Amino acid sequence: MHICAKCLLNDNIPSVRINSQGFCNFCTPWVDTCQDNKTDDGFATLLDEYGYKKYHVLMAYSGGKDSTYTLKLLKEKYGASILAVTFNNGFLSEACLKNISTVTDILDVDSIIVKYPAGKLIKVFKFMEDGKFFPRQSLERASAICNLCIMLVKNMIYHEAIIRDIPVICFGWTPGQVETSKPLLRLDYRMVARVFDNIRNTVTENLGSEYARYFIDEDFMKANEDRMPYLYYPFVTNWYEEEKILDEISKIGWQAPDNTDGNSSNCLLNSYANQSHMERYGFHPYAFEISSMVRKGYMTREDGLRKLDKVKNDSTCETVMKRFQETS
Amino acid sequence: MAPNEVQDKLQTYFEDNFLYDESMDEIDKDMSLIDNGYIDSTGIIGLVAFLERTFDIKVHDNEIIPENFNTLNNIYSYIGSKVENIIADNNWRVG
Repeated sequence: MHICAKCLLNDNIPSVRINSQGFCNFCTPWVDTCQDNKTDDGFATLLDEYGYKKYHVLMAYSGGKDSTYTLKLLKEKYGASILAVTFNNGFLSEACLKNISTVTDILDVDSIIVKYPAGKLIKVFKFMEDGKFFPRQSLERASAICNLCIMLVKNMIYHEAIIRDIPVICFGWTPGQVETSKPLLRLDYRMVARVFDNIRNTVTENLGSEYARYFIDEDFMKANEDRMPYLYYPFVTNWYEEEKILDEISKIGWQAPDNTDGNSSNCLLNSYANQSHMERYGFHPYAFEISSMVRKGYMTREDGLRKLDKVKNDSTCETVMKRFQETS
Repeated sequence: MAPNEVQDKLQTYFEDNFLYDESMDEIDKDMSLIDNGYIDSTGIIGLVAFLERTFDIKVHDNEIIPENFNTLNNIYSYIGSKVENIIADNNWRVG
């Protein structure tokens, strides 16, 4: 196995090729970097245009460090009125649930938590775990379990934003998770619906129609075409630095859980999902995200290596495996 | 930018990001990339970023629609029209 001399991608990953100079095919082309506050990204103007609204932004708030910092940024830098919506996948750590409560109290942000029945979720996680229903590109960027969880989150978040007429959605994506040059983007409803349809059809055809309510379909999207929310990516124009983020969010009461893996600061399931992915595919599901951060200068190569080294928390992984085994 | 250069850059991107061990010759260029599980919403956003920086074009939100992004031929046609516009615009400026 060869590892890129600049980032951390290795040629166990199907799309990665290392050239004779030791660099991967993702490091050789021109690379985007954050404009770091130098450009008006249009978000403040958009908020002004909407004027008073009970909620300008629906923040997909996982309770982890990145979405906590994003929430703080939206509130303190932009003065947005925010509804923080958390998807509890049944595996959020106790510390995470406490962080959600503490942070939203201190930031004076309204918050709701949506939780689906645990048994139903575990059943669908188990069914999708082998990854065969996801695009191969998606499985290079995250584990199958993470991909499914994110899909459920996106469906729930779009639905909540549309029915509440909230014009902007924001996720706490790091600059390594989404490669975009657009800080603000409003996707056509048909593009969103078609992507959701794939997974919805797979899940309902294999596990039953009772799962249909967790997905939104094209009819719903079409009926609400005028309410399609913008997606806002704050890290296109705001610098990302993990140390600074941890320092900033500690001021609003956020504390790191002690039972997650090196790449999650909220979810216990991630340890198991990482382990399962590595056994199946032979590479770390966070390698792309971390490598992108290294390539763009948000993280040193050494820090990236340290993060990728912490694949799982052993006792948490065992607990999750036990819950999976107990669910038929 | 020459048409061949546009095609080569698109081909490399597709092979690296969506096709992997499949070659472009094996793929039905009118097949839906979304419905057949080659690309998801994050992939579409990444593709738009690639097109903007590689071809120095602006992809407007209302252009990110199935008619422009659902199949390889859709994407080729869309980029072809955008790049032609740029070439024409540059020629006009030079003239």
